Amino acid sequence: MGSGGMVVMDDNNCMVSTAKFFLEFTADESCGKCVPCRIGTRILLDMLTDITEGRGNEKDIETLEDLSRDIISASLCGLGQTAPNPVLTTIKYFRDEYESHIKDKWCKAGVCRDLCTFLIDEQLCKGCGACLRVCSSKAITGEKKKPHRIAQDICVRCRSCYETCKFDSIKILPASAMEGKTKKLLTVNSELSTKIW
Amino acid sequence: MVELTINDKKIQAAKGTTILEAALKNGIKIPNLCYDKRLSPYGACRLCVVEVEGQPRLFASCSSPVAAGMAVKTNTPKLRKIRQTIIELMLVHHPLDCPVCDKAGECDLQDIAYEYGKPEARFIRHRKKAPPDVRGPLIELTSNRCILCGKCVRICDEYQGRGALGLIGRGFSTVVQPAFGEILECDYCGQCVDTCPTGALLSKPYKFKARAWLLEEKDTVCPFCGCGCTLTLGIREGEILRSIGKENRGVSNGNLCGRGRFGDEALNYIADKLKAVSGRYGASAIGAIGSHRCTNEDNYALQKFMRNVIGSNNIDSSAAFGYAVAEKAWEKAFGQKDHRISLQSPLNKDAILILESDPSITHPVFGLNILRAKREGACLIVADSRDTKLTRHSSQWLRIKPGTGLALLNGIMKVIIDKGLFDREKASSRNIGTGFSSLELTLKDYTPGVVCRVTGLTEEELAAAAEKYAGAKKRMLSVTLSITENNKSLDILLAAANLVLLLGDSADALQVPAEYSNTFGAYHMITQNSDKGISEMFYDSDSLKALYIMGEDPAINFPDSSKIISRLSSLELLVVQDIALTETAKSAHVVLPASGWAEKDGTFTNTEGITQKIYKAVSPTGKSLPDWQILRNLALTMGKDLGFRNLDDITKEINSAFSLQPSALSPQPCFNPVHYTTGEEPDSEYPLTMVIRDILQHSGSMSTRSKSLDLVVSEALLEINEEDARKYGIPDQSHVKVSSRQGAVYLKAAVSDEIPEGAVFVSPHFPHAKINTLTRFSANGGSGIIAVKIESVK
Ligand code: SF4
Ligand code: SF4
Ligand code: SF4
Ligand code: SF4
Ligand code: SF4
Ligand code: SF4
Ligand code: FES
Repeated sequence: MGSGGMVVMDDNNCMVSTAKFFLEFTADESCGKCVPCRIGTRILLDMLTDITEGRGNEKDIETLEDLSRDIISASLCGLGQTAPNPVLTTIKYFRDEYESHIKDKWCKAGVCRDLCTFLIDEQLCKGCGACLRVCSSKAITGEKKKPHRIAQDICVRCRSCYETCKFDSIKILPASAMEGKTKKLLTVNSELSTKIW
Repeated sequence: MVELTINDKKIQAAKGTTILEAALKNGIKIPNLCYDKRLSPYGACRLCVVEVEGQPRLFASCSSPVAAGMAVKTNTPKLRKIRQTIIELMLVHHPLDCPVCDKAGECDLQDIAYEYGKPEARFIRHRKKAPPDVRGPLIELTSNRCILCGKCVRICDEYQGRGALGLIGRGFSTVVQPAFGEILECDYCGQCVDTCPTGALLSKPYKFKARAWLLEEKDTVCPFCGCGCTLTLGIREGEILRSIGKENRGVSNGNLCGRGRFGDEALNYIADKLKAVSGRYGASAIGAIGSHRCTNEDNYALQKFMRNVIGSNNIDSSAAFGYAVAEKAWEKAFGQKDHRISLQSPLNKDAILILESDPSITHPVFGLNILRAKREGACLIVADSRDTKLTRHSSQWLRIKPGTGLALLNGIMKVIIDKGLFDREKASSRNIGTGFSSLELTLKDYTPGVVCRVTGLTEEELAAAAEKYAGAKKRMLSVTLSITENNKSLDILLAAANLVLLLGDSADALQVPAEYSNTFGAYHMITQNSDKGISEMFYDSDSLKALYIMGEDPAINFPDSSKIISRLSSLELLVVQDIALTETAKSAHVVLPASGWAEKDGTFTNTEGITQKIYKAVSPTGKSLPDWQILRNLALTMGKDLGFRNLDDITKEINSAFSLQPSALSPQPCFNPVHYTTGEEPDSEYPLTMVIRDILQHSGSMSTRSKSLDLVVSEALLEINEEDARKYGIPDQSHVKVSSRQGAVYLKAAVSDEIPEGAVFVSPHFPHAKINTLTRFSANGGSGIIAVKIESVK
């Protein structure tokens, strides 16, 4: 991953957030002497932040790549010359993730909290109650053996229930999946979820 | 020499030069924002990147040396693209307030953005919102406009030796700030303002005065000190709005004026009076004073007027107090005339000894070279009672008691002789007249014990200084001597010359810079070869009945004001010809308004003996005329022709009358043993020693007329040590009455840890402070250390 280190990840990881994490580090480490690194890393970080918070736009991927290359060529020392690598590598191998963040406002890994909705698929839910117990926000309700529900206005999208459910009944959908319905208690039937998948 | 190609052009460049320098020298432009040829390479803005064939990485041309066979490209599409990005990044947080920014029109950032920038801005804007720092008196820092090129920080530290600015913080939040975010308190040299490529650092007095493109620029010579720097004046509609330095020169914001009434009436009156005085008492009852503030042509015209029209040879200038004394020492010690210094002389020296002077203040460019020599490895020994910029940068600071420099020199020589650190044969053989043996005899009394008691040093300090100085291969000794300092006189120069001769050095090893930009010139035009000088005219007898004063203010500038004023008011005719209504002019019968230095053409001769032209930058105010022209008109009124009609005529005459070349006298070195004599010793009634010293922001009563400098130090200060302030109950910034046996003045106290205990320091340059009320006249130059008492004024 860029700076020479290697990072092993599975599909529980959001690549945009990963790149952002690295840039947070380098923008902080930049000594501030030369322009490309001092300002460039800050801009990269800002753009990645925007993408993970739903403010990305169509041209961003191209701009990120372009700016990254310029920072690499123009910086004074090794820090600036390698800082943008995580951006370039993640775009190279996971361009689709960037695209879904930007176009669909959807972080499929459920890491970017502004870009996901956690929903329980009624058809798959066995009503085992495991999710209800791990949810520290008390957003999940449901009777034993009956499909459970997530109250969207309480859910903080921490992913705990998703990781806990042994039956894969919890789905991560785009933030927009709940548009207009968020204030109500809801479960989603499988019809809707198939449509979106 | 190395051969390389830049943009396919074959180029020769000296080894070690950078690609950028080589390109610029050959007319190839590479954009840059953090490069300044006076500073060491920095490589921060990255605009100067170039491609080098066979190298995958780009090179910052400002910090990459040339190499043989290098093929450099400076303007490829790739480079243009990168420069665009860099500019785009710089503008990410730049306020773009060009419409209200004084830099606009001469802003490097603006220019480069115009050349490389593109209309679309891809990035999120981070407008910085720090308010401009307008707390400082002369310099305003708008950090929002700063691109962190670091030039200001580096010039202040590396070049000016001050280190008043720093880059604070890291990464994106880095800002330029005075230390600890305090108000910028520094030398106000303005170097940082001149070097700043943006409108981040600006001159406050010039703020909102004019857009850069409306200014007309004219070069002239700065009249404030002996260095004779080139200033570029910015002029709009005939008014000087600012002066900026070109390259390594200082800034002084000039503000000139001219007042008074002037007409034929006045000339007729003067002519009649002069004739009457001459008829009654003889021509020798008439005297004249010229000035270092006037051009060579003006001073020449004055002496010619005196000699040819009046028939009197009583003419002098304030050079009598400083430079003339140096000349006297020169003749006595080395048998040479025309002492001129070299501003470059400190460079390449191994040891430099400075005696009770701070050339970094009185002669800034000379001082900068001393600091540079120190940086390059010279051992800098500074003997001074007060903490100065030079003592802070010194290798050894000899904190002697005020006015004891001569004792120190004798002590050093004694150590050198006793330890055999010199070539005895050479020293004894080169004498004629007074010999080495008499020096040895005089120095007998200056044992380390005695010298240390007088100077307050330890014997180790004394021995170390003597050994270091005598042991160096190339040495230099410098003392400044002027009317504005009272801690040095002829004797210290003679002692310094003894040291030079003792060590077998040539006369160049002693550098005594002339005070102002034209002191050297004034001396040569006027002071030498006159009959009655200042000493006779003012202090000795009262045979003088009429006095013509051009560009000088004796009532303020000469020692013992009450004596001067009583002499002036006893005259039957006093004519003052000046650019402003001076204190002296108040006693005058006639005041003739003359043009200031920026209002006329002519020449100045600097402390190196180099004559430079100054050009008229603005038209004279009101009815004022150049001094030489007034004198010509007066001569015509008196029925005589001075024989010149324009400046060229005078210049020609000067060239044939005076050769400003070093004299061809065969040098006759000679020891002049001198004893240390104490000045006025403090006693129970007058317990403090008063030292008069230049402070940085003013170098003459001319610059006290500058509004902007007054913002920095608008009142004459009495600097006093903390202990003494406590002892005499003087709060900081309160008013004090200072009395000597001569008189009393009121000053504002400034408590400072730069001042030694038992002494107070004052600056001579505030006319209204009238420091010379306290001083006494001494024919040997300087006015002598005096004892004073201070009282708090409630
Ligand atoms: S590239 Fe290096 S020198 Fe430049 S700002 Fe970054 S850390 Fe500092
Ligand atoms: S853990 Fe899964 S199966 Fe169990 S109640 Fe929750 S959603 Fe249903
Ligand atoms: S994501 Fe977290 S807060 Fe939301 S329902 Fe699941 S466990 Fe509760
Ligand atoms: S510094 Fe230059 S670019 Fe910035 S506002 Fe001033 S003129 Fe404009
Ligand atoms: S004016 Fe001179 S001394 Fe003051 S900060 Fe600027 S460069 Fe430094
Ligand atoms: S204030 Fe000016 S000179 Fe100093 S770092 Fe900023 S832009 Fe450069
Ligand atoms: S001029 Fe070379 S990096 Fe700024």
